[in-house]
Amino acid sequence: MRVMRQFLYMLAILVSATPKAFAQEDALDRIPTIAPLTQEKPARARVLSGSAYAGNAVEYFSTRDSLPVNLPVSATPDWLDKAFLDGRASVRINTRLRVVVSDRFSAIAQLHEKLPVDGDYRNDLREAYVEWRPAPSLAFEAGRVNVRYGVGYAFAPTDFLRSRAIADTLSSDPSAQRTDRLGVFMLRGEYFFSRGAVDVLYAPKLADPTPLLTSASTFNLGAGRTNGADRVIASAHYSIARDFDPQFVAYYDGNRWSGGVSITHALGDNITLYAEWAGGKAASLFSRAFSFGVDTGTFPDSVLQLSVGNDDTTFRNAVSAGFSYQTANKINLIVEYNYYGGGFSSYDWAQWFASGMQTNLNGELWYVRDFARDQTIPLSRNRVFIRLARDDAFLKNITLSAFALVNAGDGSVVGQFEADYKFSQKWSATFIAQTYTGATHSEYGSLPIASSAILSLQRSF
Amino acid sequence: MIVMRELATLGFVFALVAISQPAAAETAQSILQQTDKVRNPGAPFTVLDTLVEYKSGKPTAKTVLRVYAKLDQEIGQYKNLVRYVEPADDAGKSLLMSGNIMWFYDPNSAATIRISPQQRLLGQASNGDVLSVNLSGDYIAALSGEEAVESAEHKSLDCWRLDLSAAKPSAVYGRIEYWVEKGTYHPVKARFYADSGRLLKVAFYAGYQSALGGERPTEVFIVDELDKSLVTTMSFTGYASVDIPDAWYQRSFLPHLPNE
Repeated sequence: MRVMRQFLYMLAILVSATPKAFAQEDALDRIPTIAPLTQEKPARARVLSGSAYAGNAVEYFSTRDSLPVNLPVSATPDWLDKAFLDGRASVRINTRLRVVVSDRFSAIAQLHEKLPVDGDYRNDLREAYVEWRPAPSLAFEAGRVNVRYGVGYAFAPTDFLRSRAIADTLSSDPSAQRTDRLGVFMLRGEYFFSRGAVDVLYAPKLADPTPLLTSASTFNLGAGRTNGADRVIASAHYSIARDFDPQFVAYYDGNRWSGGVSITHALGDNITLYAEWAGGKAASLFSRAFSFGVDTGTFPDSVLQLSVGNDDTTFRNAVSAGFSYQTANKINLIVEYNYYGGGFSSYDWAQWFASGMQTNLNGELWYVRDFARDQTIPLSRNRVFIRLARDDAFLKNITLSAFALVNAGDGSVVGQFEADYKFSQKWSATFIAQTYTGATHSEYGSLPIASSAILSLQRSF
Repeated sequence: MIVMRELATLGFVFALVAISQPAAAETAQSILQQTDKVRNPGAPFTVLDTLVEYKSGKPTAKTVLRVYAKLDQEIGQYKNLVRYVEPADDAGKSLLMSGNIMWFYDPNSAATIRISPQQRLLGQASNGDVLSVNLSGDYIAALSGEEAVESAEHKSLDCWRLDLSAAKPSAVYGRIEYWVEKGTYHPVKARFYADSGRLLKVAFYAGYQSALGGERPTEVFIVDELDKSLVTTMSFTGYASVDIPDAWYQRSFLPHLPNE
């Protein structure tokens, strides 16, 4: 009887304890044998920090045989090879002072049937500034600084310093365009308080604006692009309530004031809503482009007669609103609507195509489109942006992303698929495929490039 | 209205716990509060967190983070600032988390973007593991037993076993099983579950050392249960009490966050 009781007791212990014991040991056993649990001394703040990488990218273009509005010169290569060296460094002088430098150098070869027949290079000094923090809640910056306002992903109306800032880049994803852009030479002060912050910056005119399509073969700082006019920005954000922290931005460019506001809000654990508006008096895209062309010596004064009226300046709005949806398995979806009041309406597009077929103004017409791209503003009034991305997709360290930018007026689309694979701590590869689709008389269907593909290999240091 | 309902639910659950454990010298919630004090110094502090990821026993990645944590009296939860120190590619990236508000700054794009609370869970050692969190503020604890548990240092420790249920939207995990050493209130082991009930990871707390007025774990081993070849170690060094201005806990300060 006693033996029986002991047996049942042991059985009860085994039944209740065994699964848990195994579970515990299973997890413990998977902890790798590592160095003894010695405590390293805390790492001291480094004087120099930063990163650098070098790489090479080959790009293939597929072009359209005929265009509704011909290019003034046919200059699209079939192949392009880019070698690039990219780096960013932060040097900490002391606890209050640091210097930041960010630069990208690209050597570009256009490859036709023989390799290479044409060469080019460009250097983009993206940032070079000194930061001084005389007090915990105060910061000053002087030099070329990349300052970005707004919350929109594809288009941020209050990002007033985006104009003429595009640097050399591989991907057309707006996140890549943000990364590889030039800062603006400025003096900036920021003050932080418990529920918000204010900042004021002054970006002086340092050079006359350089014309569009200036040769990229230069080590020029590009001050004529980023500092072609005196500009002032004042910004403030204040947390009025929990998760209600709007940011207001006022902008003056030497001629007129503009202003805007942006806001974000979390909707549950997965969704972030965002919206942004900016407004101010401005001319139409046609007028602005032709005025710029005249000011920079590209066109004679007479070209201004081409724009609809000599002065179509009026109050114009720009809006960006959307949401980001994040899943537990690392999938991120962004859907965004963009409205740009200065962009082409359906009527403007009809005029653009009609003028191109009936006149010899191809150069002027394509110049408007180049101007919009240079200013990083939407060419059309209404568009929709959709982006889907997944980190660690199928394999760890593979990021897949795809986006579509849809002209809501004519249904034409620019689409991009990108795969990034970091196959070691140092090496990574990127594949990008782009298509421009739509009817012949549409924004993206009328572009000379129908599709392109890029294969790039990078090594970080 | 939702707040009232949550408060009512909390009160009801507290009452149930109290009724079901009449003889217990300490309630499960008070044990949980004590373990929070072990993991998190009360005063604002900074610590250097070194994460090493292992795949099939071999180190594959190392990340070093500077964390600034401070209790937000308004919500009774820690607000955190994190600055990436290593690897070099990520140096200068910064994260702000205050309740369900999260912002991420990337110096390469000079952009500070809003990210969703869901992104606390991403990565083997998620942001939810790196950041200082008062579990007692986000979870309701129930004492489900007392048992001996093998620690990361292969010692058998007498522990309370707590079942933690998410009580607020800010809770990172749906449920946690939590083993706490009796007497010392040292967390020994935890199992983290998704809202779906799926086991995500098992953590072992080790390397207890004196820091900022108490014994604190300086090593955490996180064993992934979704990909069983993955393990992450987290080492905490250089605990220091610092005066962190409230003005730092906002998106526009992220580019200026120091590493010291």
